[in-house]
Amino acid sequence: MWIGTTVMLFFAFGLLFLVLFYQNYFIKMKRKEAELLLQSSLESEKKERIRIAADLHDGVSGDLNAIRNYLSVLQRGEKDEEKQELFAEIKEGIEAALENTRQVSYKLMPPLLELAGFKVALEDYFGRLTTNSKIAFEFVCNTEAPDFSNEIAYELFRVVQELTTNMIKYGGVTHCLVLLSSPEAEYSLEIIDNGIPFDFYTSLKTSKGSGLKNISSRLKVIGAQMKQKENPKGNHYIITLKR
Amino acid sequence: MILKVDPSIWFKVYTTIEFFVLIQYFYRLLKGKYTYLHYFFGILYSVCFGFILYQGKIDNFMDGDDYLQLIESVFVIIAILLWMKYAFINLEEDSLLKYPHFYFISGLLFYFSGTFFLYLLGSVILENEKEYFIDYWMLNLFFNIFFRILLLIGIWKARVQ
Repeated sequence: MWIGTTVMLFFAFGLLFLVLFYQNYFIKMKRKEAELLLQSSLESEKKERIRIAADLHDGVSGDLNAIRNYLSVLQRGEKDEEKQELFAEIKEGIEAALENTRQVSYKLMPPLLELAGFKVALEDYFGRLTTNSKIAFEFVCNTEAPDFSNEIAYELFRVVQELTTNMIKYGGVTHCLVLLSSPEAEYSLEIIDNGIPFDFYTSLKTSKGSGLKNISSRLKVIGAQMKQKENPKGNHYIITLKR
Repeated sequence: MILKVDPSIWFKVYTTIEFFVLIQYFYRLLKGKYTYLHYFFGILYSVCFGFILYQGKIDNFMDGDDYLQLIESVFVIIAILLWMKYAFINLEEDSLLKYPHFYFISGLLFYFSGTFFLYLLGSVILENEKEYFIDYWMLNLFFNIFFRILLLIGIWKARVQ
């Protein structure tokens, strides 16, 4: 009887162990697959952005510039005042289109990010934002230029871009301080604004859009952590990344 | 009146109620599949119980209980194997340890596996080694306690969810 009972218990343990072990293995494989898929998806997105930005800059901008030049030639040769005014208006429209194209191309892939580095790209970006929006962006860097790899710089830039876009669209922000420092063995990027308080992680769970999920995915890919400190007068995000 | 009834009869009644509750539980757990299995074992058990009644063995301890427990144990083990097959095919991304049913199933598996041979050979042990029966019966006690602990954990998990 004891032998029989031992055999039956061995069978029971074995069965449960097999199910648990296989399921754990399956969960690990699924997670790895999801991570690889995420990385590959972000990489594809980056390549597409670079391609579209280049096409816009070389193709559309180039064509618009050519049209503007032709218009200048036509305008110089035209004596009729009415037609001159018309050409001036068309030129204005083309200038606006050129500027928009440059903005779109810049937003897709800021050239300074690869040419001059993360710090310079951020300075330039906040400078443009301050000019174009009614928000005073203040960028303070308490560390020497961080030596991020291209991938990390790109993903971090996109996170900042997404957060600031949300700030401008929905936050009612008038002032935003961005502080880049390197305490101890990590880099810290703090974004402090005076807008409508917004709980990032609660909204992430309920959000149907992809913006917040993209932020979370990008941070995960580069191994960065983001915390939100309580701030009754606005929002305070701290992104940390190990050196 | 009720307290004067022989415990052997209560034991058989308990086993019968337990069996039909388990049939109902596995029917819901397996989402209505394998109905033939439930009917087959239900009818088999009922026939066996009827036979024990006919033989007048209703108030003999471990007389007939071995057959009833054997049917119950075989049914439970087959139902658990079918559930595991279902768990393998439809692997969830959450760990099974988060599901209350996993604890119920584990408890049932250990209890019925552990006491399978005890009940099978119970009447033989009572006839030939009566003085050692209580030592063997401790096995039932141990697995019963273990089973109840797993049931408690499963219920606690269900409440937490």
